[in-house]
Amino acid sequence: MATLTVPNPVTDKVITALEQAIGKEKVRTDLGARIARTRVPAPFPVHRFADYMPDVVVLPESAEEVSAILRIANQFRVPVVPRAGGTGLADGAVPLHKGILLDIKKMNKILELDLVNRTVTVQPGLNMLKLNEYLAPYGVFYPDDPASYPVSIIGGRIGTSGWSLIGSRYGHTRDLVISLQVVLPTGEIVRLSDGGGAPKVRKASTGYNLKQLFIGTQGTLGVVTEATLELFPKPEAELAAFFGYESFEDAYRSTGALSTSGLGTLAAVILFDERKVDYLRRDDEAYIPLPERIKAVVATALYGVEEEVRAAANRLFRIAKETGGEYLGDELSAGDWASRHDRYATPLHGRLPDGTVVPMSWHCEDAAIIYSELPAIKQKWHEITDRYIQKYGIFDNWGMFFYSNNPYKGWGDYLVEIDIGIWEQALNEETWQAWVNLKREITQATLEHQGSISACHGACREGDAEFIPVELREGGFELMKKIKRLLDPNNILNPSKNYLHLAYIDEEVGV
Amino acid sequence: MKQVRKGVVLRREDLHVFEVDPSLMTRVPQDVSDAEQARIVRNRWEYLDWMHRHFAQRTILLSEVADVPAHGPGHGHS
Repeated sequence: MATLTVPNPVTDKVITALEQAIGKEKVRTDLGARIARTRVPAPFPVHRFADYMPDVVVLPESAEEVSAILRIANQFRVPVVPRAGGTGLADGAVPLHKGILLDIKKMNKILELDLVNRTVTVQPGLNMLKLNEYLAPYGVFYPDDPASYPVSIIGGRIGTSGWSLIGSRYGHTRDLVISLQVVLPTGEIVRLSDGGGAPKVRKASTGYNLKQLFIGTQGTLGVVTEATLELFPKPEAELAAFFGYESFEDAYRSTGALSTSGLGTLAAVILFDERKVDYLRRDDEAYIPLPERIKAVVATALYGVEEEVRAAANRLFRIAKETGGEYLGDELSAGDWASRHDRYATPLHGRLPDGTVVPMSWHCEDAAIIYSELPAIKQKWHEITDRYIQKYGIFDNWGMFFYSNNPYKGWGDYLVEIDIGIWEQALNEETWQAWVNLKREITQATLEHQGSISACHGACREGDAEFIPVELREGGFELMKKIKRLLDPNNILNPSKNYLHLAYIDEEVGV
Repeated sequence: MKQVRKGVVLRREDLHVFEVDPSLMTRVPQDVSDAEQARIVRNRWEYLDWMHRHFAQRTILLSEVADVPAHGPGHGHS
């Protein structure tokens, strides 16, 4: 069995081969290019920055160039880590073993707009905001809407199987991709769709549905080089309505009632817990004036044809009122909703236990949890987080959100998120390990409550990844290992992510 | 300077921008001029308006549709 426990270093021979294959101008070894692609916005062990710096950055412009890079990596047995916008919160693009960093941002062309069949075919380096600016004059839009909407790019969304803020109306990334062109780890270029090979057919029963296998791989099975995407009519109208409640329990029940309302234009239901409201009342302009009696909030948003949105708004308001909700006003509702498309623009600071302000990075710990378990998981995650804050003092609990998580409906499981500020400059090895242990305890609680480790970020980070074999213990992880070995025999593509180094080691899994 | 709640102050009524109590900002002191603060606030609203237009042709407010006050609790200032 092939192994890559100690990956080969990138030598001058590798650099020369890359330069000959794709051109010198697309191969960067300068420190600036490498530093800029070492980490992502998630908390990072800055005291060990150099451990993760790639040896070389390549910027291909075509599937053929990606293929050539992967063939060279196989020849020299060096790792390749694909990177899109670098906005992920689970370290998918962090080069754990250094090596070649494959940045897809130069592959940003719109290849075909088909208004008759409502598709657009693009290269993966394109940003959704830019795509929608191009689409707007045609009255259509691509509704993949993460919190990083202005800065993340399509290839990364596919690589992480991202979640969309308005996914309960329009679907999430996996539902919006019709077909893919993928370069396999060994360099072959393949076209994959919902069974069959027709690039614009959404539903087929011919052959395996291989497209989904390549969505959410965190770049471990292939590099997406082209995607055909779903187009929707640009909504005539949007309406956001935020409601306040005097207890979390009331807001939780209201979330259930709103999510199961059956309103076709309902794009999102978001529950804010008491700690989130406390945090916002402390540090968010819009929420500072909110009276203390408001303990929890439910945010809703509608999109669609104007007549439908207006009618649905009345029903929405009636449900919220009957379940104890109080409308929080037009300014807060519309303003907060618009800001949710771009949470990465938020300047980050947090508080030490004495209330003093310090710069903090944002950690967004996510999981997929079924509705019945939300109150229990809230209690456990806060207990864990508060214990670490009390002991180490460099973390800050920013509260929890619970987002509707399923395509075309509000009910089912929820994207549960606890936001934690981390004072990165104060990190050392002891506090970093404390942080990882905090994450481990949160992950264990998730699994104890029948949840999945991640709803949208991926489970690549230390503290998450080692639990993938546990969550997929009924044969799923064994199958993942076989698929990884089959497609990537030399373990060159994003090695060790998703704990898949175990695919190349003959030993029992255990955490 | 008016204390709005614990840890929050309002320095200028006309701008109506809440700020962290300066006594809590000793580790990261900030010196932002009034003009710069006004520019940041104005640009923020312009950006949010742009975001609304980007996602839909029209933004409808609940107060246009249902019998609710336009201002929520504690937000009657603007």
